[in-house]
Amino acid sequence: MAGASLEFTQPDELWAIPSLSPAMEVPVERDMLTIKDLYADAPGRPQILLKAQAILVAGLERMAAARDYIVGEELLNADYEVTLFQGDLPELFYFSASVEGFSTVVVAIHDALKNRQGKPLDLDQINAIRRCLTALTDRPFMKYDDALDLVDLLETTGLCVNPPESSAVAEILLEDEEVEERGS
Amino acid sequence: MSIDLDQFALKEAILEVRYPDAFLFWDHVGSFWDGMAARYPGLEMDEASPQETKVKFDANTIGNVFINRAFCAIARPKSNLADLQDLGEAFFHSLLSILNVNSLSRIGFRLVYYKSFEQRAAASEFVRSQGSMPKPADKLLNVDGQLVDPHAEMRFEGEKLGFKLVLRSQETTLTVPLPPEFRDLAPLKTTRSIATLEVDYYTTANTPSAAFDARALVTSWYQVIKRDLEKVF
Repeated sequence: MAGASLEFTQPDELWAIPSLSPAMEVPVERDMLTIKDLYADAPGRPQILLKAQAILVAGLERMAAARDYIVGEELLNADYEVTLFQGDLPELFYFSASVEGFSTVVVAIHDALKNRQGKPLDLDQINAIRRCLTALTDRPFMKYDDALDLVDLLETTGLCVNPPESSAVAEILLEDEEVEERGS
Repeated sequence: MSIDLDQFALKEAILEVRYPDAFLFWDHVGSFWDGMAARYPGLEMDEASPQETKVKFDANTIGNVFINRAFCAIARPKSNLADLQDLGEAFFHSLLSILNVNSLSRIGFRLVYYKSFEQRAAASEFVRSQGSMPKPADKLLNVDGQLVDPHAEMRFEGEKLGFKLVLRSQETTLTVPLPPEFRDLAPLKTTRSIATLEVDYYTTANTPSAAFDARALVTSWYQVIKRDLEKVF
């Protein structure tokens, strides 16, 4: 147990991660109820929620494995784990449809992974995604503002969380502005 | 004998959360009700004081917010509790955000069922026959009588969840006093004998607010209660 807690408090893992809002900084205490404690498997939203939880837990395991591979300088294996996680991510959209904060973070992670265009993630980026996944697992009904803090966290590690299509839209808007300026 | 929920009618459903004192109550509870009024145009204030605010959404539905707890209650809810799910989702999602509540010390879900009987004795016998309630002799403690209004209660708790069951029979009387101009008529009075079953299902540990979703919780806990309640008796 002591080894595990040391692993998570290594300064080189945490130094680049900015502080989050007070609500997100509150750790889930041992005596706090988890999603599995609260919700039984019932049709409708509970079932979708528990499925999302399973995907998130699997994602956390993959990202932990990716982190270990990076520490061991096995970059190909690390990238393979991230790619597998990326493949599972779209399933979370089904749960995201009705939960605003959750969907904001999931979409940001999805776009961040898509935008990397094959480049491997570094340790800070993997840790930021792990932190997002932990928050989504413990607090799937987080407030929108708290979700934006997590998106900021991803961006501070150099991940681009905007959809790839947004650059094309930005170019079109910029061209329109230039045409208007010339016209006037 | 075991309880069959199908023979009961659902009288009331309540969803309550408790939290550490939320002092923003005094600043923001008006904003909360304003938002709810936009969503539920028929909303009317019932009571307001520094300690609590209580509103009626309609004749059967109330919402009540205190500095350290809040609940919404529906009398004669739909059998699938869709109305409580809808109201609970809107009510608690907005309230916990506005009051900046991050942790819930208790979440409680209460269902009150009832079953009508022609006679008070039949209601008493129904309750007595559930479980191991004794059947007393005709004369006890020098009282020559019979068992009326039996009441059985149990609480079962773990480190995370708990529930309390109350089964009782009772006679309720409705009396409507008539105004003087109708004094020639007999006063309206009607009596009902009923057995009520109250199920209180709750958390016994803290819950992060962001893990709480009223719709998912009501769906989930209602399913558990309907599935497992008969195993209790």
